[in-house]
Amino acid sequence: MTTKIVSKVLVHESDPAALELLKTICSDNNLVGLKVCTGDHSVGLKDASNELDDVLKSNVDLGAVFLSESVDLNGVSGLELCDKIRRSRPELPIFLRRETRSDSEDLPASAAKAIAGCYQTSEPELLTQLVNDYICSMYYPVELAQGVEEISKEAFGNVIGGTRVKCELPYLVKDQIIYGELFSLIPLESDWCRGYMMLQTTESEIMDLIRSGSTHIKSNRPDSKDSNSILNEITNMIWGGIKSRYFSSGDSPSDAHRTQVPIIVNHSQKHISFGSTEPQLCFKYTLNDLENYPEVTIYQRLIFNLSWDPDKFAESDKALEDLVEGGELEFF
Amino acid sequence: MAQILVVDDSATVRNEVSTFLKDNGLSVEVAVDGKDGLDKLQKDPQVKLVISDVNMPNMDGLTMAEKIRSDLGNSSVNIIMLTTESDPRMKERGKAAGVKGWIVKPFKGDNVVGSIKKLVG
Repeated sequence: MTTKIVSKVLVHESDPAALELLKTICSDNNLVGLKVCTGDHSVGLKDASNELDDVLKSNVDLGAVFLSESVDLNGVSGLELCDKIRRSRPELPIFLRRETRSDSEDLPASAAKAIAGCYQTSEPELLTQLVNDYICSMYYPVELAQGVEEISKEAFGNVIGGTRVKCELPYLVKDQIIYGELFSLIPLESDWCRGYMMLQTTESEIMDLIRSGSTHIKSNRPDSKDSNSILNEITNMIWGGIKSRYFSSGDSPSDAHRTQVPIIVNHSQKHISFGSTEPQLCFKYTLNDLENYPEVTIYQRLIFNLSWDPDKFAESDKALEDLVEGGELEFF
Repeated sequence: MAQILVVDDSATVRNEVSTFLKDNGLSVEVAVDGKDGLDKLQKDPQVKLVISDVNMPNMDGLTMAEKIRSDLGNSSVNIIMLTTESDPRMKERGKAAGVKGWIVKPFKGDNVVGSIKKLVG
């Protein structure tokens, strides 16, 4: 398996030269560009407000937004969209391409406040710097991403019989939008990291899963206690796997130095904040056994908001040698 | 009278383990956490084996094991931990509390049913 960590970015751009630059930047920085507007009229924004809402609603796991000052083929300028995006997704950095300057001093205050940085097509190095500062500002070892994916797939398989699990490439996310109605949080703590793992899904998908008889809860009429229990056990198994593989004995942070920050959940905005604006490591799993239940989507995020020292992660490989075979009884 | 007490806060695991054990001819009682486990064991001291998770709300499995020996004075019941934990320090604590064995989840019944039957006589 070849793993690389990517990030999904929204691109609203119609200038061919700018699109070419963005293509190069995306390729160089492992960004996956989701185009809102291209040179093709049919893809353009006809009603910018509503269409952008739809695009944002269907992409809850973005790393940034690229806009353009110049109008697109339907007469919509990125400037008109900045404030709207900032109000609905304040955590998303917005990069604005400008025609004649690379700052936001002459822009209306609302637009200037919304923009993380400006660039011109002739300044690829400036755009690269913005990407590094805002999207790739936190380094996650690929080995960690690979390991978490393996552990998680195994846990899904253990809790859900006969399921097939697909995982997209792990990616960096700035978005703080909550997916679905059901999510779990569990602390991840060692001497090289402190934060949380969060799993998010929809309750209806988990209910379908239970009704299919693929879990150990046998019920034709499952309730929320049942769906909670399934997510609880999946979370617990993944957490245990990560702890066993990467958190070697004796490396818990000292109690005396334990800081905490409040986690804020805003139900009306479907938004969760961990206090940190650094990108989170995200995995999107699709579970299916089409003969028995519709697809189940589970988003997994690792949020190291309290402490993160990836250099020490490399040293924790020792734990691999101590891997314990699951399911065997060890007598004392 | 049950032969085995299964203690786990996860209904999924309680169902999985107890169904497997019952299918293998064993009688099973379940408890939702360590506190509930202590209560159930006090009411049914004939239980031969406790299979317990470690991380549970209200009372964890290792504290329950310690209290089975100290507070209930029950030194005969066998205790096995079934957990995602594999930390040697936790196992040491379990040993000190008289825990007989340790299974790292997932529960693979076929691998352990023979040993479990021996423990319940």
